[in-house]
This record gives sequence, C-alpha cells and structure tokens, in this order.
Amino acid sequence: MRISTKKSSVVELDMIFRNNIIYDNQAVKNAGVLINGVNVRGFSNNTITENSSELQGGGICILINAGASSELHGVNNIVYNNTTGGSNSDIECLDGKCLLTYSCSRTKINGTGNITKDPLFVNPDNGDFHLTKNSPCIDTGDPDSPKDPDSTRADMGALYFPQGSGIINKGFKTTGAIAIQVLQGNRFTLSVPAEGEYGLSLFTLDGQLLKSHTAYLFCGKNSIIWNISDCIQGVAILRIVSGTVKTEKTITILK
Amino acid sequence: MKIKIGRCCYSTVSVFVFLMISTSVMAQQQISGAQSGTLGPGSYTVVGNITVDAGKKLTVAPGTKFSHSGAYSWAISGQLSAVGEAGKKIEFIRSGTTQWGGIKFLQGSSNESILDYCVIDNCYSSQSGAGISVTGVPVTIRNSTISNCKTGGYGAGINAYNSSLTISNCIIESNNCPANGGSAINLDDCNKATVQYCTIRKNINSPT
Repeated sequence: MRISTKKSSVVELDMIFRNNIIYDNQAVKNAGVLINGVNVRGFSNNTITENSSELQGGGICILINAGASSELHGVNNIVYNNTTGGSNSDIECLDGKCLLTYSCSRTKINGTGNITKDPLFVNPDNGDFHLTKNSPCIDTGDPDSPKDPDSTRADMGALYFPQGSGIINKGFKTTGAIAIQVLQGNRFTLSVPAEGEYGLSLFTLDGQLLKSHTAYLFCGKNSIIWNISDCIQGVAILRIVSGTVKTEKTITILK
Repeated sequence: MKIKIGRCCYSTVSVFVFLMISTSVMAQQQISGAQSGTLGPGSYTVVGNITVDAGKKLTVAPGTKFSHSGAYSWAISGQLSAVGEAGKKIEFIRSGTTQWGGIKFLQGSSNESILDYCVIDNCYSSQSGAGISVTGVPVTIRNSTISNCKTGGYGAGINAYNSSLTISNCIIESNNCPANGGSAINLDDCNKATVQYCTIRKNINSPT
C-alpha cells in the first residue's frame, strides 16, 4: 500500500483508512504501508502484521521523496511482528512524523496509549487476527473513539473482541431462522437493512461463544467471508449487532 | 429389441450432446470494441480491447463472466456499472495463459463507476495499474477480489492518480510489482480516498 505525491507543496489527504488487515506482504522496500510526502489522517483500527521487507519499512514506513511534509495520524492500530533490515521493523519514520496513539507495536513509539505487548491473535499462522480474550488490545483503544459493536471501549486492531459472551442461558430472543451453508472459502450471504459496521457472534444454544467476526456491510444482500467451518454442524444462534441495534437469529450450519 | 433400445438411447444422447454444445457455443459470445447498454448474464469471450465511450454507460448484470483470450484491456471514458451479487459475481478473468490488460478508468468520465462483487484476476500492464487503473475520476470498488496482477509500474492491483477512490470490503492479494512499489494499492496525488474493511495479503513489491 503506497500513498504518495509528486507535488512539492503540503498535501493533506482526505483519507479514511480503517479496519484493514494487511499481512504477509513482501518487498525489498516498504512491504506494508508507505506514506511518502503526504499528510494522512483517519488511519484507525488497522492490523498490520507479518509483512517482510529486506531494506526498510516492514509494517509502516514514513518518508519524504517529494511533498513538503509527511505525517501519519491515527488511533487503535496494531502494527506488530513485521520484519525488515531497517531500523524499526514495525514503524519506521525516516522523515516526517508518526503520530499514532493508542496503538500496539513491538517497539515503543511515542504517543498516548501506545503499548508494546503481544496482541495475542487467535491463529496468525492461518491468517486469523481476531483477538483472544487475554489480549492487551481489548478495551485499550482511544477512549474517545466510537465504542465497539458490543458497546465497550474501542479495541485496537481491525477485529474487535466481543465481550459479555460465554455466559450460560443468555435468554436469546430470536427473530428468524436462516441456514448457513459452509461452502467455497467459508462465504455466506446475509441481508441487512442499512450500511455500516456489524459485529457477528455465533453461540451454541446454551450461550457458549463459538466465533466472532466484524464486517462492514451494505444495505441488502452481502457476501461474508467468515471461517465457521470448524463449528459443529447443526443449530446455533447468530447475534448481529450494529450500534445499539441487536438481532439474534437461529441458524443451521450445513456442511 | 435390445439393439433398438440401445440405438434409440444413443440417438437421444447424441441429440442431447448436440444441444449442450449448441447452448455452450451460444453462451460464449465473443465481444470487443465499443460497448454500452447492458451485458449479461452469461459468458463472453473478449477477443479485443473493450471501450465505453464518453457519455455512454455500460451495465453488467450479476453472474456475467468475461474470459479474455489475449492481452486486452477495458478503457472506460464513460460509466461502468458492474454490480454483481454475493452468489452471482461478475468475473473478469483470462481464458488461456496470457494475462489480460485490466480495467482503466480514464480522465473525463462524467459519472462515478462502480465495481461490486467482481473478480479481477490475472492482469498485466507494463504501465502503472494492472488490475484497475483510475485517472482523475471517482470510482467505487466494493466486495471484490483483485488478484494475481503484475505491472512494470506502480499499483499492480489498483493504481489511482489524482482521483477520488472508495475501496471497501475487498481482498487484494498476490499482486506483483517487480520494478516498483504499491503492489496492492498505489495512490498518487489522490486528495480523497477511503480504504476500509479490506484484506491486503501476499503481495510483492520491489524498490520504490
């Protein structure tokens, strides 16, 4: 991902860059994200991990080849476990400014709320960058950020950890039934009434959390990629949360 | 009696196979050149460069497949609306071993183009932007996969210059910039861009 300019003046980029997962990219230089001569704001809740470069910029690199300044502003990012032959494998600021706060990296960067602890992903070797329940990135995002779909303080990273789960007898109030066929890369379809971020949680009938997922969905039918192939075939509860709206449906997982 | 039944069955099978082949041939229409109106659903073999001229709009129906038989590209000076559905994606792929030339949204388009539930796979361009190239126009890309594209310039998956670009819920993977950077997405002099809920993985860069 390269964001650059050829202009010699200050370039303020009106950019939203959020909830992206950037992993396992390789480069001679700048494997993850390169900010080159532009000021980028709105860089939030991204997970950037396991990218590898030979010379510089494993996770994020900030430099100025053109442009008058180069600044990266953002919150709630995980930039962890990237590798490089350069000075800092996760965030390398060669020119300009790295102004990330409430973010997680392996080497400490200046800024309020930044941490250097292992984010404890579920299964990074298989591309599952959900957080496990003991992750230091849970509820440690910017307190001024919008709350997660479960109404708790923002987590760091692209995929929030749903809380208040795992309690026996949750008193589900289901409003419909759908069947999910686990096919072709674990895709299934889901229709929603409005565009926005949705938190999806899958429970057993007695309330045990099986899996969780976050997705940005559009009004109408959506194709969702969510690996539920390891869940037991049969009936379960799918909780769909967006903002303050919560819907629970009985689903049948078919294989 | 058994022989007659056998011949009868054989004839029936022959007719059935003939009908199948006819249907298959009819479904694989060949297209090239200027396009407008609606294409699909169905399968097309692209046998030359495709254009959507200024002032024209091309709508592609869900479930349409474009198999490119050579290094042909799409040049959009008008408007392209390729909106698939979750179970009916619109595929832009190669038919043989030659990579095709990708979709290029050119400066001057009057309306915003959209790619939704599309597959863009196996493109090559010696210049920046192999899969999708955007110059000076607004484009929205949603719920799509851009993969296995290679460029001699920047931005093997998506390259945008001086544009307003929205990319949501996309997978951008296994693209390759052997000579430059931004293998997945390259944004040059774009003053407005949204990239959200995307997975960007297994792309390969060289020096920038």
